[in-house]
Amino acid sequence: MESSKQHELTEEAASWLVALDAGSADRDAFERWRSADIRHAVAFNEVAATWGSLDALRPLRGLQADDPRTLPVPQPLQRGFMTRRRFTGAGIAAGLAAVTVGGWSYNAFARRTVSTLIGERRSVRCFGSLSVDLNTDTRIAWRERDSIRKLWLRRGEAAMAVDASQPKPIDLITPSGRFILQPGLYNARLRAASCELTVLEGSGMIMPIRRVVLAGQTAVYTGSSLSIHDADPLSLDRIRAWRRGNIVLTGESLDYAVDEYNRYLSRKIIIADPGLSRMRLGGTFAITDLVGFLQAIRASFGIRAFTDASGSIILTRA
Amino acid sequence: MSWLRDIDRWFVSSVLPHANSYKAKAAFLCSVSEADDVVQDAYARVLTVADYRSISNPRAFVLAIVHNLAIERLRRSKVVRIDYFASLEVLDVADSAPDAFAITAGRSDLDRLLRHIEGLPPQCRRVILMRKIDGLSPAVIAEQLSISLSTVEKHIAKGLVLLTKSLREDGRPKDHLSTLWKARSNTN
Repeated sequence: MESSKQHELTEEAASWLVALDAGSADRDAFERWRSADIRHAVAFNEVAATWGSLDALRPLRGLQADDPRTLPVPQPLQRGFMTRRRFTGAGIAAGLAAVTVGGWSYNAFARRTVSTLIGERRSVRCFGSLSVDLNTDTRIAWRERDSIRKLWLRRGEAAMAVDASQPKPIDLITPSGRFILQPGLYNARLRAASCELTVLEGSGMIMPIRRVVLAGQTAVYTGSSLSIHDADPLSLDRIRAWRRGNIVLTGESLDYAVDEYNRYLSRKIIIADPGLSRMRLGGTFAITDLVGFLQAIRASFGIRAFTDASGSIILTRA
Repeated sequence: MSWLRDIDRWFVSSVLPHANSYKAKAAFLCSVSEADDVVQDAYARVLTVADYRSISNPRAFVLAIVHNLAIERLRRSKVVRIDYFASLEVLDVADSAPDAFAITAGRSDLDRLLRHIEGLPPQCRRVILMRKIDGLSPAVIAEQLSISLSTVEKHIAKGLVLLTKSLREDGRPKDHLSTLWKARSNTN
């Protein structure tokens, strides 16, 4: 809770900063105010930090109205000054390099990072020409510097749409390997030691060896070993399915189904009876409808589910 | 910005970005309502360190100050329950707890800033954006909006105050931390 004293200090500090910025401040008087109490110096620095972070807005200058790559802003912003401009924070922020103001770099903006919690999904627009859809428990970062656009996939799974509007490819960097993505649509999923990149449209190149991955192919790259094969229709279905919030099963084992669901759950499903693991399941299930899934396996196979003391979901034979 | 000394630049670039962590730690040890005071006290201490350049990990340094200040506060408080001190033994675990805040900061920094700007009074927002996006000088802004120069400066100052305040409070511990707090109380 901010005390009134704190509020006063912040107001004083802001007045000083504005006066200094306008050139109307008495420098000596300012220095005296600042050294009078250490809390004056603290308040001034907090206000100066806000002032500096506002500089990150500079790239917004000159943005064209009705740019089709931008998204509509929430209602309140549409009145007043911003009426002519349509943008999202993430989209604009994307092209930023580190901002240097009067000698100090505000490094917080040098590389943008976005992540999703377990079970969360997010879409962000990076660079204006790249849209990324993050699946559960996923982490990405991006940065543009000297016209080279880099996207780091640190964790999880992401679908990427690279616009043809700009000729620059995207440099996708994962713990297992690097890919250059031409305009197109891609899905990248990180597993324990590998990255699985599926090219839906467009083409990618695996670096540094320069092997090309074409539309309809999947590359599994561990950094030391590589396999490129035609993506089977089922795995393409699965990629489309997660984007729509579904898990698609076509005869996989219960183990597999549970592993897939567990990606989206903080409290995991545990198969208590090893004999159940090998049961084969088919069907499309909504990720958010865990109860529906559990009811289906109960009806089909007589598998019971109960919650234990820690909140895990235990599956046993009925 | 020549009005920042070297120590100020260091403070802004190395100390302030972790404000959420400091606040989370303070709230964890004391209470949410005292967290701001504790963090402000910590900032005051940090800004008096003469040899700040030799601090290898500013975030950890400030977290340690917050820790000590919070403990002092607990000891001085007359309302302290006796079992607080028993739970203080587990403080090594508590050191990592505030990092949980990084999770809630999945919202990128600029998204946050833009949200707060959105919440400013209209004229205030207009002036701030003319100054900071379009880079217009206060004099030109005054002319374009047909208001006085001092009014322009007042709007900028007001916007700065409101934004600094809302950015500071954005790190305010919400459900996640109170869940942690409850969990710790239950284990006592």
